[in-house]
Amino acid sequence: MKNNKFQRIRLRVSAMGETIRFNGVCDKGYKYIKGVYVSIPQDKAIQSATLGFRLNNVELLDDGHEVRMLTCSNNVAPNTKFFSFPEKIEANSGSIEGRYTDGSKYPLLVDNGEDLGVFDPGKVDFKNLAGYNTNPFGVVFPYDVIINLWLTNE
Amino acid sequence: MILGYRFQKVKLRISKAGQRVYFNTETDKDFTMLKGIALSVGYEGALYGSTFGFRVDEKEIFDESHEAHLLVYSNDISPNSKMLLFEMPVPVKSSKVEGIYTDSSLQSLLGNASYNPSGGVISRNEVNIKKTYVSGKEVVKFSNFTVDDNLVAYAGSGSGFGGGFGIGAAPAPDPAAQVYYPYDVRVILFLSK
Repeated sequence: MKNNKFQRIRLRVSAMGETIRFNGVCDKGYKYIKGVYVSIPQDKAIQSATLGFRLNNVELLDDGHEVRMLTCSNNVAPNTKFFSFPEKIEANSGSIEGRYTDGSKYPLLVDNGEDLGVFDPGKVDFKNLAGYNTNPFGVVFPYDVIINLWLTNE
Repeated sequence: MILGYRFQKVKLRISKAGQRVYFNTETDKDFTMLKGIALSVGYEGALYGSTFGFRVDEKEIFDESHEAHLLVYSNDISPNSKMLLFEMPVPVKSSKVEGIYTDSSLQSLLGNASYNPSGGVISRNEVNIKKTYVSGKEVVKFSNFTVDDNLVAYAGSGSGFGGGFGIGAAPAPDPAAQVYYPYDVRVILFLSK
Protein backbone atom coordinates (compact mmCIF):
# COMPACT_ATOMS: atom_id res chain seq x y z
CA MET A 1 0.00 0.00 0.00
CA LYS A 2 1.13 3.48 -0.76
CA ASN A 3 2.40 5.69 2.02
CA ASN A 4 1.06 8.93 0.67
CA LYS A 5 -2.23 10.05 -0.67
CA PHE A 6 -3.62 13.33 -1.84
CA GLN A 7 -7.25 13.49 -0.90
CA ARG A 8 -9.30 16.18 -2.54
CA ILE A 9 -12.38 18.10 -1.56
CA ARG A 10 -14.00 20.08 -4.32
CA LEU A 11 -16.21 23.07 -3.60
CA ARG A 12 -18.17 25.26 -5.97
CA VAL A 13 -18.41 28.92 -5.07
CA SER A 14 -21.39 30.47 -6.76
CA ALA A 15 -21.64 33.96 -5.41
CA MET A 16 -19.65 36.75 -3.84
CA GLY A 17 -19.14 36.34 -0.14
CA GLU A 18 -20.50 32.83 -0.10
CA THR A 19 -19.61 30.60 2.82
CA ILE A 20 -19.48 26.89 2.16
CA ARG A 21 -19.40 24.36 4.92
CA PHE A 22 -18.16 20.91 4.14
CA ASN A 23 -17.44 17.72 5.98
CA GLY A 24 -15.99 14.36 5.17
CA VAL A 25 -13.76 11.61 6.42
CA CYS A 26 -10.05 11.16 5.90
CA ASP A 27 -9.27 8.20 3.74
CA LYS A 28 -8.63 5.16 5.87
CA GLY A 29 -5.21 3.57 5.87
CA TYR A 30 -3.31 6.79 6.51
CA LYS A 31 -2.12 7.75 9.95
CA TYR A 32 -1.29 11.40 9.58
CA ILE A 33 -2.34 14.51 7.79
CA LYS A 34 0.81 16.26 6.73
CA GLY A 35 -0.30 19.28 4.81
CA VAL A 36 -2.93 21.16 2.90
CA TYR A 37 -2.97 23.08 -0.36
CA VAL A 38 -5.85 25.12 -1.72
CA SER A 39 -6.22 25.32 -5.46
CA ILE A 40 -8.12 28.33 -6.79
CA PRO A 41 -8.45 29.01 -10.50
CA GLN A 42 -8.48 32.81 -10.23
CA ASP A 43 -5.78 34.75 -8.47
CA LYS A 44 -8.20 37.52 -7.67
CA ALA A 45 -10.33 35.15 -5.66
CA ILE A 46 -7.47 34.32 -3.31
CA GLN A 47 -7.45 37.73 -1.75
CA SER A 48 -9.46 37.78 1.46
CA ALA A 49 -10.77 34.24 1.09
CA THR A 50 -10.58 32.24 4.30
CA LEU A 51 -10.56 28.59 5.22
CA GLY A 52 -11.30 27.13 8.61
CA PHE A 53 -10.49 23.48 9.11
CA ARG A 54 -11.12 20.98 11.88
CA LEU A 55 -10.18 17.36 12.21
CA ASN A 56 -11.90 15.23 14.83
CA ASN A 57 -13.23 18.42 16.36
CA VAL A 58 -9.74 19.82 16.80
CA GLU A 59 -9.16 23.13 15.14
CA LEU A 60 -6.24 22.98 12.75
CA LEU A 61 -6.97 26.36 11.15
CA ASP A 62 -9.36 28.88 12.58
CA ASP A 63 -12.20 30.21 10.45
CA GLY A 64 -10.37 33.43 9.71
CA HIS A 65 -7.27 31.76 8.33
CA GLU A 66 -6.39 33.29 5.02
CA VAL A 67 -6.31 31.08 1.97
CA ARG A 68 -3.34 33.05 0.68
CA MET A 69 -1.29 31.34 3.39
CA LEU A 70 -2.31 27.95 2.01
CA THR A 71 -1.72 28.38 -1.67
CA CYS A 72 0.97 29.51 -4.05
CA SER A 73 1.58 30.10 -7.72
CA ASN A 74 3.14 27.94 -10.38
CA ASN A 75 6.44 29.66 -9.72
CA VAL A 76 6.83 27.51 -6.63
CA ALA A 77 8.50 24.11 -6.86
CA PRO A 78 6.08 21.17 -6.65
CA ASN A 79 7.73 19.81 -3.54
CA THR A 80 7.09 22.96 -1.56
CA LYS A 81 3.60 23.84 -2.66
CA PHE A 82 1.81 22.37 0.31
CA PHE A 83 1.43 24.08 3.63
CA SER A 84 2.91 21.58 6.07
CA PHE A 85 1.39 21.61 9.51
CA PRO A 86 3.93 22.48 12.18
CA GLU A 87 3.35 19.18 13.96
CA LYS A 88 2.27 15.65 13.22
CA ILE A 89 -1.48 15.39 13.28
CA GLU A 90 -3.18 12.06 13.48
CA ALA A 91 -5.77 11.46 10.80
CA ASN A 92 -6.82 7.81 11.17
CA SER A 93 -10.09 8.12 9.25
CA GLY A 94 -10.92 11.20 11.27
CA SER A 95 -13.86 13.41 10.51
CA ILE A 96 -13.18 16.60 8.61
CA GLU A 97 -15.15 19.80 8.90
CA GLY A 98 -14.36 22.98 7.10
CA ARG A 99 -15.66 26.37 6.17
CA TYR A 100 -14.55 28.21 3.06
CA THR A 101 -15.55 31.84 2.69
CA ASP A 102 -15.19 33.78 -0.52
CA GLY A 103 -13.59 37.15 0.12
CA SER A 104 -14.48 39.04 -2.98
CA LYS A 105 -17.38 40.85 -1.46
CA TYR A 106 -14.88 42.88 0.50
CA PRO A 107 -12.21 43.58 -2.06
CA LEU A 108 -10.64 46.41 -0.17
CA LEU A 109 -10.69 44.68 3.13
CA VAL A 110 -8.76 41.73 4.33
CA ASP A 111 -11.78 40.88 6.32
CA ASN A 112 -14.68 38.63 5.78
CA GLY A 113 -16.90 40.18 8.32
CA GLU A 114 -16.72 37.43 10.85
CA ASP A 115 -16.01 39.78 13.70
CA LEU A 116 -14.86 43.38 14.17
CA GLY A 117 -15.01 45.50 11.09
CA VAL A 118 -18.10 43.88 9.68
CA PHE A 119 -19.23 45.48 6.48
CA ASP A 120 -22.78 44.68 5.61
CA PRO A 121 -22.61 43.53 1.99
CA GLY A 122 -25.57 45.71 1.15
CA LYS A 123 -23.79 48.75 2.47
CA VAL A 124 -20.58 48.48 0.51
CA ASP A 125 -20.97 51.09 -2.17
CA PHE A 126 -18.08 50.90 -4.58
CA LYS A 127 -19.00 54.22 -6.10
CA ASN A 128 -18.23 55.87 -2.81
CA LEU A 129 -14.88 54.21 -2.37
CA ALA A 130 -12.26 56.42 -3.88
CA GLY A 131 -11.18 55.31 -7.29
CA TYR A 132 -13.51 52.40 -7.72
CA ASN A 133 -16.70 52.26 -9.71
CA THR A 134 -17.08 48.53 -9.67
CA ASN A 135 -15.66 45.61 -7.82
CA PRO A 136 -12.00 45.98 -8.78
CA PHE A 137 -11.20 42.38 -8.17
CA GLY A 138 -13.55 41.17 -10.86
CA VAL A 139 -13.88 37.60 -9.69
CA VAL A 140 -15.98 35.50 -12.05
CA PHE A 141 -18.54 33.17 -10.55
CA PRO A 142 -18.95 30.31 -10.23
CA TYR A 143 -15.48 29.02 -9.59
CA ASP A 144 -14.26 25.80 -8.06
CA VAL A 145 -11.92 25.39 -5.14
CA ILE A 146 -10.05 22.18 -4.55
CA ILE A 147 -8.72 21.53 -1.09
CA ASN A 148 -5.89 19.02 -1.30
CA LEU A 149 -5.06 17.12 1.85
CA TRP A 150 -1.78 15.32 2.05
CA LEU A 151 -2.22 12.09 4.01
CA THR A 152 0.71 9.94 4.91
CA ASN A 153 1.90 7.04 7.02
CA GLU A 154 5.36 8.46 7.55
CA MET B 1 -7.73 19.35 23.02
CA ILE B 2 -5.69 21.97 21.28
CA LEU B 3 -2.73 21.59 19.04
CA GLY B 4 0.75 22.83 19.77
CA TYR B 5 0.52 25.80 17.43
CA ARG B 6 -1.79 28.66 16.71
CA PHE B 7 -1.97 31.52 14.27
CA GLN B 8 -3.20 34.45 16.29
CA LYS B 9 -4.44 37.39 14.25
CA VAL B 10 -4.87 41.08 14.81
CA LYS B 11 -6.85 43.13 12.34
CA LEU B 12 -6.25 46.77 11.65
CA ARG B 13 -8.21 49.09 9.45
CA ILE B 14 -6.43 51.96 7.76
CA SER B 15 -8.97 54.61 6.92
CA LYS B 16 -6.97 57.51 5.61
CA ALA B 17 -3.62 58.47 4.22
CA GLY B 18 -0.79 58.66 6.68
CA GLN B 19 -2.79 57.11 9.47
CA ARG B 20 -0.98 55.54 12.38
CA VAL B 21 -2.81 52.68 14.00
CA TYR B 22 -1.74 51.46 17.39
CA PHE B 23 -2.91 48.19 18.83
CA ASN B 24 -2.23 46.10 21.85
CA THR B 25 -3.38 42.69 22.83
CA GLU B 26 -2.27 39.62 24.74
CA THR B 27 -0.87 36.44 23.35
CA ASP B 28 -2.94 33.33 23.83
CA LYS B 29 -2.31 32.00 27.32
CA ASP B 30 -1.89 28.42 26.13
CA PHE B 31 1.20 29.15 24.10
CA THR B 32 4.68 29.97 25.28
CA MET B 33 6.66 30.85 22.18
CA LEU B 34 6.23 33.43 19.49
CA LYS B 35 7.98 31.87 16.54
CA GLY B 36 7.10 34.09 13.64
CA ILE B 37 5.12 36.95 12.24
CA ALA B 38 3.67 38.01 8.90
CA LEU B 39 1.62 40.89 7.60
CA SER B 40 -1.19 40.55 5.16
CA VAL B 41 -2.07 43.75 3.37
CA GLY B 42 -4.97 44.32 1.02
CA TYR B 43 -2.82 45.30 -1.92
CA GLU B 44 0.75 46.04 -2.66
CA GLY B 45 0.33 49.71 -3.45
CA ALA B 46 -0.19 50.38 0.22
CA LEU B 47 3.05 48.81 1.25
CA TYR B 48 5.95 50.82 0.06
CA GLY B 49 7.15 53.11 2.79
CA SER B 50 4.59 51.89 5.28
CA THR B 51 6.13 50.89 8.56
CA PHE B 52 5.35 48.48 11.35
CA GLY B 53 6.73 48.63 14.86
CA PHE B 54 6.24 45.72 17.21
CA ARG B 55 6.92 45.06 20.88
CA VAL B 56 6.38 42.11 23.17
CA ASP B 57 6.33 42.74 26.91
CA GLU B 58 7.84 46.19 26.34
CA LYS B 59 10.71 44.61 24.44
CA GLU B 60 11.21 45.98 20.97
CA ILE B 61 11.12 43.40 18.23
CA PHE B 62 10.85 45.85 15.33
CA ASP B 63 11.38 49.55 15.68
CA GLU B 64 8.74 51.91 14.38
CA SER B 65 10.49 52.49 11.12
CA HIS B 66 10.66 48.83 10.17
CA GLU B 67 9.28 48.59 6.67
CA ALA B 68 6.03 46.71 6.33
CA HIS B 69 6.95 45.19 3.02
CA LEU B 70 9.72 43.24 4.74
CA LEU B 71 7.02 41.23 6.48
CA VAL B 72 4.71 40.37 3.61
CA TYR B 73 4.68 37.65 1.02
CA SER B 74 3.36 37.03 -2.45
CA ASN B 75 1.72 34.07 -4.01
CA ASP B 76 5.04 33.05 -5.52
CA ILE B 77 6.29 31.88 -2.15
CA SER B 78 5.91 28.44 -0.70
CA PRO B 79 3.18 28.41 1.98
CA ASN B 80 5.62 27.40 4.70
CA SER B 81 7.93 30.28 3.87
CA LYS B 82 5.35 33.02 4.12
CA MET B 83 6.26 34.08 7.62
CA LEU B 84 9.26 35.75 9.08
CA LEU B 85 10.51 33.14 11.54
CA PHE B 86 12.57 34.54 14.38
CA GLU B 87 16.01 33.03 14.80
CA MET B 88 15.30 32.87 18.51
CA PRO B 89 11.61 32.36 19.32
CA VAL B 90 10.32 35.02 21.67
CA PRO B 91 9.13 33.59 24.99
CA VAL B 92 5.57 34.65 25.76
CA LYS B 93 2.93 33.85 28.31
CA SER B 94 -0.18 35.96 28.03
CA SER B 95 2.30 38.61 27.05
CA LYS B 96 1.43 42.13 26.14
CA VAL B 97 1.85 42.65 22.43
CA GLU B 98 1.90 46.15 21.01
CA GLY B 99 2.27 47.36 17.51
CA ILE B 100 1.99 50.46 15.44
CA TYR B 101 1.32 50.49 11.72
CA THR B 102 1.98 53.69 9.82
CA ASP B 103 0.56 54.21 6.37
CA SER B 104 3.12 55.68 4.03
CA SER B 105 1.07 57.64 1.63
CA LEU B 106 1.88 61.04 3.06
CA GLN B 107 5.17 60.57 1.33
CA SER B 108 4.40 61.84 -2.11
CA LEU B 109 7.66 60.60 -3.56
CA LEU B 110 6.38 57.09 -3.12
CA GLY B 111 3.95 57.68 -5.91
CA ASN B 112 0.74 57.90 -4.03
CA ALA B 113 -1.97 59.96 -5.63
CA SER B 114 -4.50 59.76 -2.88
CA TYR B 115 -3.03 62.36 -0.58
CA ASN B 116 -0.91 64.76 -2.54
CA PRO B 117 -2.94 67.72 -3.80
CA SER B 118 -1.23 67.47 -7.15
CA GLY B 119 -2.36 63.90 -7.45
CA GLY B 120 0.97 62.54 -6.33
CA VAL B 121 2.62 63.54 -9.59
CA ILE B 122 5.80 65.43 -9.06
CA SER B 123 6.03 68.36 -11.39
CA ARG B 124 9.10 68.31 -13.60
CA ASN B 125 9.89 71.79 -12.47
CA GLU B 126 10.04 70.65 -8.90
CA VAL B 127 12.58 67.97 -9.59
CA ASN B 128 16.16 69.01 -9.54
CA ILE B 129 17.81 66.30 -11.53
CA LYS B 130 21.21 67.43 -10.37
CA LYS B 131 20.26 66.39 -6.91
CA THR B 132 18.74 63.11 -7.91
CA TYR B 133 20.93 60.17 -7.18
CA VAL B 134 21.20 56.72 -8.61
CA SER B 135 23.04 54.20 -6.49
CA GLY B 136 24.64 57.00 -4.58
CA LYS B 137 26.15 58.67 -7.64
CA GLU B 138 24.93 61.82 -9.19
CA VAL B 139 22.99 61.16 -12.33
CA VAL B 140 24.65 64.01 -14.14
CA LYS B 141 27.97 62.19 -14.02
CA PHE B 142 26.67 59.41 -16.21
CA SER B 143 27.42 60.09 -19.83
CA ASN B 144 27.14 56.52 -20.98
CA PHE B 145 24.93 53.99 -19.34
CA THR B 146 22.85 51.01 -20.10
CA VAL B 147 19.16 51.60 -20.21
CA ASP B 148 17.09 48.97 -18.57
CA ASP B 149 13.41 48.31 -19.16
CA ASN B 150 12.27 50.59 -16.40
CA LEU B 151 14.17 53.53 -17.71
CA VAL B 152 12.94 52.93 -21.23
CA ALA B 153 9.44 53.22 -19.90
CA TYR B 154 10.15 56.82 -18.97
CA ALA B 155 11.87 57.76 -22.20
CA GLY B 156 10.42 60.88 -23.67
CA SER B 157 9.23 62.24 -20.38
CA GLY B 158 12.51 64.00 -19.89
CA SER B 159 13.22 67.64 -19.58
CA GLY B 160 16.07 68.10 -21.93
CA PHE B 161 18.34 65.48 -20.51
CA GLY B 162 19.54 62.54 -22.52
CA GLY B 163 17.50 63.21 -25.61
CA GLY B 164 14.58 60.95 -25.00
CA PHE B 165 16.35 57.83 -23.94
CA GLY B 166 17.66 58.66 -20.56
CA ILE B 167 16.32 59.51 -17.20
CA GLY B 168 15.25 63.01 -18.04
CA ALA B 169 12.85 63.52 -15.18
CA ALA B 170 11.66 61.76 -12.15
CA PRO B 171 9.49 58.86 -13.22
CA ALA B 172 5.79 59.43 -13.11
CA PRO B 173 4.23 57.51 -10.26
CA ASP B 174 3.07 54.07 -11.17
CA PRO B 175 -0.74 54.12 -11.21
CA ALA B 176 -0.71 50.73 -9.54
CA ALA B 177 0.87 52.35 -6.51
CA GLN B 178 -2.15 54.44 -5.73
CA VAL B 179 -3.69 53.68 -2.39
CA TYR B 180 -7.40 53.60 -1.79
CA TYR B 181 -9.04 53.67 1.58
CA PRO B 182 -10.06 51.94 3.67
CA TYR B 183 -7.87 48.89 3.57
CA ASP B 184 -7.15 46.28 6.14
CA VAL B 185 -3.93 44.91 7.49
CA ARG B 186 -3.75 41.62 9.25
CA VAL B 187 -0.95 40.83 11.64
CA ILE B 188 -0.46 37.08 11.93
CA LEU B 189 1.48 35.75 14.90
CA PHE B 190 2.75 32.20 14.86
CA LEU B 191 2.56 30.85 18.41
CA SER B 192 3.65 27.47 19.64
CA LYS B 193 3.94 25.62 22.88
